Order: sequence, then structure tokens, then C-alpha cells
Amino acid sequence: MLPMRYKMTARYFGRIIRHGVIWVAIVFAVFPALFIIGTSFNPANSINSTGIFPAKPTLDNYTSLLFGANRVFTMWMWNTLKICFVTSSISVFLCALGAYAFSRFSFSGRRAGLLMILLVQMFPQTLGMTAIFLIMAWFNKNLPLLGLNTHAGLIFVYLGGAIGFNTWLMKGYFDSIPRSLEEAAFVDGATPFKTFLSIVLPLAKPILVVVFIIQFIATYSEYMIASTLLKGDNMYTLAVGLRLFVGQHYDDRWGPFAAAGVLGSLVIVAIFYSLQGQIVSGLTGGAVKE
Amino acid sequence: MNPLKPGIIPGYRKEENMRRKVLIVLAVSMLFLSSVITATVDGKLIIWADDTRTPIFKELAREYTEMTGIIVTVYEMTMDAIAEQVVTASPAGEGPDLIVGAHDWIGRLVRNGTIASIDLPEDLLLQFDPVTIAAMSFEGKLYGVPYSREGVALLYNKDLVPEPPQTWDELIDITREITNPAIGQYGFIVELPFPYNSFPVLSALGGYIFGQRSDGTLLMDDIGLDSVGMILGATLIDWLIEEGLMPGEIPWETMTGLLSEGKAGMVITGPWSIPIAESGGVNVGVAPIPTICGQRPRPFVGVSGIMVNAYSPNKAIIQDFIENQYATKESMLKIFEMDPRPSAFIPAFEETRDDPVMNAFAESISFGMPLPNVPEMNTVWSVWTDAMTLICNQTLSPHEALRQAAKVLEDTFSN
Amino acid sequence: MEKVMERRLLRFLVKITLISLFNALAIFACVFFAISGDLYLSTAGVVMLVAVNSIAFKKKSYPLKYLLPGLFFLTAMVVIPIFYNVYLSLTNYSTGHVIGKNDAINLFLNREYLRPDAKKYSFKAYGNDSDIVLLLLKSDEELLVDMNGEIHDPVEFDIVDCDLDGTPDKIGQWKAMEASKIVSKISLLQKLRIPYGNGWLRLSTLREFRQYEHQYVYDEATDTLTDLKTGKTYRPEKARFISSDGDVLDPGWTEYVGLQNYLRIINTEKYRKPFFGVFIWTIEWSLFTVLISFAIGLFLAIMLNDSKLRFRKLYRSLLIVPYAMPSFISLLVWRYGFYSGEFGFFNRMLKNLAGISIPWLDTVFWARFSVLLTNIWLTFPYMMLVSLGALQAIPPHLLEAAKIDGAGSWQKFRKVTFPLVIVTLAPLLIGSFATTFNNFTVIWLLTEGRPVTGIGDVAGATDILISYAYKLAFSGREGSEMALSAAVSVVIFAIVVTISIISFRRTRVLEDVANEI
Repeated sequence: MLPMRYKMTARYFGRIIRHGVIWVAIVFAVFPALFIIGTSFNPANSINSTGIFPAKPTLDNYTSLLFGANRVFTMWMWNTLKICFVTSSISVFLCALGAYAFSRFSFSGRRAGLLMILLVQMFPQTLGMTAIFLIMAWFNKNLPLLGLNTHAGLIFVYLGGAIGFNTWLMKGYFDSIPRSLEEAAFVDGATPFKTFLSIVLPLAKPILVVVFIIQFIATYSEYMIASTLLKGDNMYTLAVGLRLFVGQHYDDRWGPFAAAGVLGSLVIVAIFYSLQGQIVSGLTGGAVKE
Repeated sequence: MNPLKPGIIPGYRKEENMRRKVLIVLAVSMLFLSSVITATVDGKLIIWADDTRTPIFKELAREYTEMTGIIVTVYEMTMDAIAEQVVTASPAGEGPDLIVGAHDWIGRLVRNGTIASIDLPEDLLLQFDPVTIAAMSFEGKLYGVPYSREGVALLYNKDLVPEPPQTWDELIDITREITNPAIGQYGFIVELPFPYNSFPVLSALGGYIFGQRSDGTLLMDDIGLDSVGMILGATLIDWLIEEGLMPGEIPWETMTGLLSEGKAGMVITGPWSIPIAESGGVNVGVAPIPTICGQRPRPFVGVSGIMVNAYSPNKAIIQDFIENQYATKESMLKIFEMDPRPSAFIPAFEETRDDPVMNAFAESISFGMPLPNVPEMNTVWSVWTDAMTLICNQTLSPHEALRQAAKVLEDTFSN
Repeated sequence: MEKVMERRLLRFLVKITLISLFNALAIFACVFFAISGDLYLSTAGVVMLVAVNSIAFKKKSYPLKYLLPGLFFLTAMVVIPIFYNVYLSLTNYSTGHVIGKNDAINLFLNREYLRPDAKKYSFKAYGNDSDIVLLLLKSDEELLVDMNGEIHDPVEFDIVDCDLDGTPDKIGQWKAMEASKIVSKISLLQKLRIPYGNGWLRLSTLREFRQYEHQYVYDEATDTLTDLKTGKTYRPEKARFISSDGDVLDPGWTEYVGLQNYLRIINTEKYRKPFFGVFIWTIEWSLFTVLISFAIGLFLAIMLNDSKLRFRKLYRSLLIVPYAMPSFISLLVWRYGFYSGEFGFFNRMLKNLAGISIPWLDTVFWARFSVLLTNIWLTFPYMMLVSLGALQAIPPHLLEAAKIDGAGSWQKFRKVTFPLVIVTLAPLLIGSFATTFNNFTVIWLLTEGRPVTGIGDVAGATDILISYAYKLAFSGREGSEMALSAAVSVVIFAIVVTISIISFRRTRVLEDVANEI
């Protein structure tokens, strides 16, 4: 057996290595973010200046986004937050319903159904744009509320894509919630729906949060569908609007783009930070609850 | 599992239950069906434009509404989105009445039946520069009404290059003096490998894309990608890269970056780059592209204008808008003010001759040739860019690469 | 008991409303698609209608009521586009063939032309306060027309011209209308067609009518289109109207071509040759991304799982930055800020430190390396998160037992930690594989499939199957070949589904075993 002091040094050393390795990973993870932050303070509108931090930092890019020439950004931010929030909330509820059914009821086609909703999402969707456009055009004629260039219509489309994988994740979690509580509720005369609402959902909060965040981030970054369906400055989401900043080739605005990127990311990081604890416990598929 | 039986209408027997349910459902469904509304766009105009042109057309629209009382709405979209979506949107009844776009969309849009041919009164037609009218025509019919033409010229940084070169040899001398890769400074750059901006160098000695008959119609089986002029031009570019005087890959973002940071002495680019340069504080001048062996470089002429949706029910309003609001000197001058490119409308162009920058571009374009507007250009661009890519990264010689490219195009078009 | 009855009634009413709303939509869909000739979609609509209603009212299908809302959206927005893609792949949808044959014929029939000598008619409108009733058209002759397009004889009416300016102020009981009133009726005026001569008169600008003539006439029996201006006849050939001397009319139309697109993929070397290479690279791309990012994620998760580690929360928040940053921003930064050959950050640092520069996105090897590097950067935080969750699900008594048995760290990992983590995460890993397989955005924003491998090759060195399909959509002779691209999408789908089903089969077995523990 090694003397105590030796062991403690070894453990101390081990700990330093641990922190060191983690810091390497952190640098790897955070480096591009630093780059964007630097560019956002750069007045030159180019992404290739020397060094990460500009020689003459300025707040101009930020002010142009909030009050100046690019203040349509605030509209995009609002649109995006609105759409992401609504989509994530509704999809969480829809997936929970489905997951409950898959988890608690037995019916023919259960296994096949579960597999189906996963596989169906694997269809390469880049070319599905025409189909979605035509469906939304039909809505436009007959139910303008949900038509082209409406946020409601866009949410409608997003909900379709939000079902498959998330339902599956939730089902895994529901499986781990013991049925004893629900059975007790049945004996007391509650319907399955009531137990779903008042017993299962509260217990499933962590996974609901996880799915909410996964869906939020996915919707936040989505570009193709939003750009097909939305027209006009005021309707755009962040992903589509920011493309206008650097995609047009006539007027590349890297400075405001980076600033918008920083602000946009801060929102997600904030959400993440506040819900951190729940996320990790939510991903615990088979936690022992009793 | 569930002690309570769901779905039973309390108070009725089982068989009656089914029937009643069906009836109720049918009744309520009918109620919803009857309240569905349909939308029409008759009597109003919708225009799709990109971010540069939206403010201009919003202004024209506002004036028109004041004049006539007819509502005109302008939607801002990216150029790509307009060109792509108008094809599927229009037959579905979701298209605009007018689109603002580039003349090289016309071939594809006509093939798809998306845009309608336009009739202009003879006297109005004559007020447009004939090259722009030719650019907006396809198979003998006019499909767009132009407002500006553009092309590239030589932009130079007055601090690095006090006097612009007149000949290619002078350009090379200046480039040798100024280029210093260590600090990222280059005497001469041009966007590469996408060949639009470098085409003047490729065409000066006779390079071309499609052969032309005397009346301007294109000969699709005469492909000029491997013509002697094109290969010689590509060799000049290749030489600059080999000598280390120019980077081998200059995507758009890099070119604008170098220009706006004052690290580029001369750039072949269009009027769109001027605001970018000025935003970086660079003092730019514009000159015609230097001659090569005494031959004038011939840039592509791009024409912007409006096109009419074939499915629009508002043909009369559109005709009135074009004739009485759009194709007037006042409106054309307004367009020029907000987006300064040589106007396609001759009376407006005459009034803007006092701008030296504009004159330089106009002069450069006067030697140019219109970008072919046939839908086959799509394939040509991708094959041609591939060839230029392999030339610039030194994988293939100009002769090799362009020969292969021409062969691929010949095979594709002969089907 | 009464309260229960009330609640049940309420629930019932809610259900009826929702079902009825759905039925309305579905019936509309069926009818609409049937009318526009889209029988596939119409049938799908009918199927859905029947299914939903039987599900809603059959007692045995109770569980399906829960699935209904989700399934509805899934069907509408995911399943229907799949059917549409399959349908597209069986047609010739491409540039010049984007509308149905009837629509194309209608376009031709609506084409009109002006004779060079066509007369111009100025007009004045007459009516009461709200409607236009008559129009007086004036050129070298005067025509009185009503809003149905019929020409009337002026003598039928009392013409009153007070100021004797040649223009009547009143015709019959109707007064001359001002210009502003006319503008509000412009849509009606635009629709008006007055049969006249060989064609008709219609509004040509806001102030005048002109005479237009039909340019084409269509004979359904012989399926021939005739150009009245030139006299040429056109017959359909390869979904376009072509005359005997080779003159082709635009537009053509979409038609059913069966498996032609699939055969083209197999038979044309230009499409077949890259397919295999792209397929292999796509597998490599997905496999390496998932495996490497999972390895990194799991490693970091194990490190962070130690509750005695300080700054744990901080580390976690920092490490998920790649996942939290919207990808459309970070990808552009990687591409232009880091990987750019001349001016990117990496090469500038390398040049300063070691005098070399790496062709990050320019050679086949480095481009593939770079896209993998970026994708791993994007993916490892997610892997770290799910690994953390899976680690916390391991019952601690198992690890204690292993320790007591004398197992070292590595053995603990190999025999206890790793198997349990894999069991929980296997489906997520498979899902991640499938998503990466189809991850268009990353490849497109980073390289657009480049670098170029050969001139005229549709696929570049970093193209994955889905970006290859996308490029195919635009690689045709005249620009757009969406039907071909749809066929490739269907093939890709078949491949991904097969791989996934096989993987699921194998891991299902493991999963059931784990539940026994």
C-alpha cells in the first residue's frame, strides 16, 4: 500500500489532469463562440480580421440591431421566440398524449406504430418543400388563418415534424414511472385521461422539459421550411432573416450578423441554464423512482 | 381497465346512440364546411422584390396608389427565393403579379410558363436601350421591362493605386509592386472560381459561351468554353496564381473583405461593391478594365427589370402600372437614385451622365455582351465553375479543364 | 351522479366539435384533390377520414384517441409529403413540366394577341352609386356594352348630353361615373370579355379597351393545338406540344412516366457512378460522427459525473455552447472564419507558427476531415447530455458490488457502465445516425458538397446522399429535375429505413434483457 501522502498527491494530480482535460474540451467547444463575440464588436463588417478581438471595438453592430438600421432584428427575435415557444409547448402536449398511449395501453399495431413514427421522420425532407408549399397554398385558399405567410401555418408544419422522436423519448421515460399510482387512481374512479393529467404529467416533468428544449432549439435553427412559407421582412424568423444579412452578396453585414448571433445564442443559453437540473434528471431513462 | 364507459350519450339506448352520434357529427361538420372562406387577389397588385429593390418599389407602389387608388403591396424575399418559388406558387394561385429580377431568369421562367410576354407601345419601347430589350427577350418575344443594366469594371483603391492601368501589362507591373501576401495585401483580385466577374479577361481575346447568329439568337451547339480566347484568358489568370500574385481561391466574402479593409489594389467587380468599400473607409475609383493585347475585355451585361406573372388576373392594371408609373423618366430616376446603376431607360440615363463612377461602368458595359438567358445556363455555370476551380487550385491546366468542360456540355446538350 | 353526467356531456360536446372540424377539413381535402386530378391525395384523404371517424367512435380504439392529435400532424406534414415525393418520382416533373396538361392547354387557350392594327377604345362608365351598368366604348365607332359583355344598340336608351361635349352625361336612368368609382370596380372590369369580331374586347390598361384574339385553338378529339396566327399545328410528344417542323411550345406539362426515373438512375452512368461513392462516404460520415462524438461525450460525462468535482455546473454550461448556438450561425463562422484557405483563422495561425497552411476545404481528404470535425463539434454536447442521463440511471449498488469484487476503473467501465449506458442510449444513437445521414444543413452550409472531383460531376467530395439528391434536382439540362431527385430521395429513404430497422431489431433484444435486471 502506498503511503497516504503519496496517494493524496496522486489524487491531487489526477484532479488537475481532470480539470485540464475538461478545459481542453471547453476551449474546443467555446472557441467559435469567442470568435463570433469578437466579430460582433468589430466595425469592419468582415469576418476575417486579424485576431479574435478587434483593435477598435464598437457597440455599433448591437445598436443597429436594436435601434438602428437593422432593428427589424427585434421583430425576428420576437417572431422566433413566439413560434418556438408555441411549437414546443403544443408538441410537448401532443407527444405526451401519444407517449402515454404507447406506454400504458396495449393495442394491436403498438410496436409497429412506434417504429413507424420513428422511421417516417427519416425521409429526406429537403425535397418535401414543394409538397408542404402546396398543402399550405391549399390552406391559404380555404383557411387563410393557417395559410402561407402565417405564423400559425408555420407552427402547424413544425408540429408535424415534432412528433416522432420526441414521442419515443417520452415513452421511454413514462415506462419507468410505476403504474401503482395510476392503478390506485382508477380504483378511486378516475378516467385514464384524468390520471394522465394529474398524476403522470407532473411526475414526468423532467422529460417534458427535455423535449421542450430539444424542440425549442430545433425550431429556433430551422431555415428551409420557414424560408419557403414566410414572406416579407416582418414575418421572418431569426434563421431566415439573418440569412438576408450575409447571403445576398451585395451587402454582407458580418458585424450585425455576429451580434445577432450572440444575442440569439444568449436566449438559448439562458433557457438552458435555468432548466439545467431538470434536463439531466429528465434524460434518466430508467431511474428507480420508488 | 376503465370502470367508466366513455363515449355514451347519457339517456339513450345503444343502437339509437350510434345513429344519433352519426347525425350530430354530420350536422356539425356541415356547419363548419359552410363557413369556410375563399381568398382572391383581384384588383390589387402584389410585387416580389429583394432587399435592395424593395424600398424602391415600395415608393413606386405608394405613388401609384395615390395616383389611382389601387393598392400595391411589395413583399421582400431573397433573389433565390423569388426565382424558385414563383414557379410553384403561380399555378397554385399564390404567385405575385410582378416580380423584380434578373434577365437570366427569363429562359427558365418561360419554359415553365410562369411569365407572360409583354406588349409595349412602339414609342415606349424605343426609349429603352436596345441591348437591355434584347436581354429581356426570349425566342423573339419580350418578357420583361428593364430598369437598369450592370456589369463589372475595374475598381481600384486610390491609396494603393493612384493611376488605374490602361493595359494588362501595366496591371501586372502594379500588381508586382504592391502584392505582399505576408500582410495579406494583393495588387489585383477577382472573385474565383465562379467565372462571372473574371469573364472579361476570358472574353477579351475571343472567349464566348454560345455562338450567335447575326440576329442574336443563340446556337446551342456552338460551345465556346474551349475556344482559343477563353483558354488564353484562363491562362492569364492561372499565371497570376502560379506567380503568387493572387490567391487561388477568392470567394465572394473574401473579396469584399479584402476590398473593404483596404488590402486590395484593384478588383474586377460591379457597382454593388462600392458601398462595401466605402463602408470600410476605402477611397475607390472606377475605370474600364485594361485592354489585353489591344483587345477590349467584354464583361457580361446583366439587366434587371420586372416580369409579369402569366397567371395574374390583373393584366390591365399591370399594363397601366408599367406604362404610366414604372416606365417614366421620374420613376427611372428614382430607381437610379436608390440603386445607382446605368439606367436602361434612355431619357433617365442621359440625365445621370455627370457621375464619373457611373460613366466608367457604362463605358465598360458598352463593350459587353448580355448574359445568355437560356435555361441551359444553369448547367453551363456549374460545369464552367468546376473547370475554373480545377484550374485555380492547379489540378488541371486551363486547356485540359476547359476542353473537358466543353465536352461535358456538348454531351449534355446533344440529348 | 349528476355532476358526472354533466362532465360527460361536456366532454362529449368537445369531442364532437373537434371531430366535426376535422371532418370538414378532410372532406374539403378529398374534394379539392379529386377536382384537381390528384387522385392519390384524394384517396389518402378518404382513408384518413374513415380511419379517424371509426377510431373516434369505436370503443376498442380508445388508445388511438390519444394518438390522434399527434398522428394528425404527423400525417399531414410528414406522411403526405412522403406520398407526394413518391408520386413526383413517378412523373417527369422538371423545368418545362411543372403543370398539368389541362392547365397547360388552358394557358394556351388564354393566350391572346393584338393585331398591329387593333383599335383602342377609350371608355366611360354609367351606373348608379354602387354599380356599373353600362360602358360606352369610343374609337372610330361607338359601342354600348353591358357588364355581361353584350353590345346594345344605343337607340334602346335615352341619351342625354347636357353640355354637348359629345360624351353623354346620362344614358337611360344611369349617370356617368367618376374615375374614382371606377377604380373600386376594377376587378369586374378586368374580367369583362366582350365578344367582337374574331376575338373579344377587354380592358388593356386602366383607360382603354382593345381587341384581342385567341392565339390557339385545341381539338380534343385529335389532341392537336393549332396556332391561329401562323396556322401551325402541334401534337403532344414527350409532354410538350411540338409541330411537324420541330417547333416546340412552352410550357410543357407533367405526366406519369412510371419507373423511368429509377431506371435512369440505374442506367445512366452520370447518375449511377457517383451514387455508390457518395453512399459509402455518407455511411462513413454518419458512423464517424456518431461514434467519435459519443466517445467524447461519454468521456466528458464520466468526468463530470463525479459530484466532488468543483465547477461542475459551470463546465456543463460551457460545454453545451456548440449545441446552444444556432447552427446556421456557427456553420458560417467555421466555414469563412476558420477554414478559409487564405484568410481563415486556422491557416493564419499555422502560417505564423509553422509556415504551413492546410487546404481545409480544398482537397478530398481535408474537406472530409473538416466537415467531420465541425459536425463532431456540433454533436458532442448532445451526446454528453444524454450520457450524463444514462450514467445517472445506473443503479449505484451495481458499481459498489463491482468495486467490492476488486474491479479497477477500466474494468468497472467495461463490464458495468458501458453495457448499461449502451442499452439505454442505443436507440438514441441509431436515431442520431439517421439524422446525421440526412443532415443536409451542415454539409450544405460548410462546403455545398465540394471540393469538385471532376468537371461536370454532379457529386463533390463531401456530398452526402441527400445533398446529392438536392443537386440532382437542379442538374438537368434545363435546370430543374425534381422528379429525378424525388426518386433518389425515395431510394435514400429505403436505405436509411432498412439500416434503422436492422439496428432496432438487434438492440430491441438487448433492451428487453436490461429490463430484467
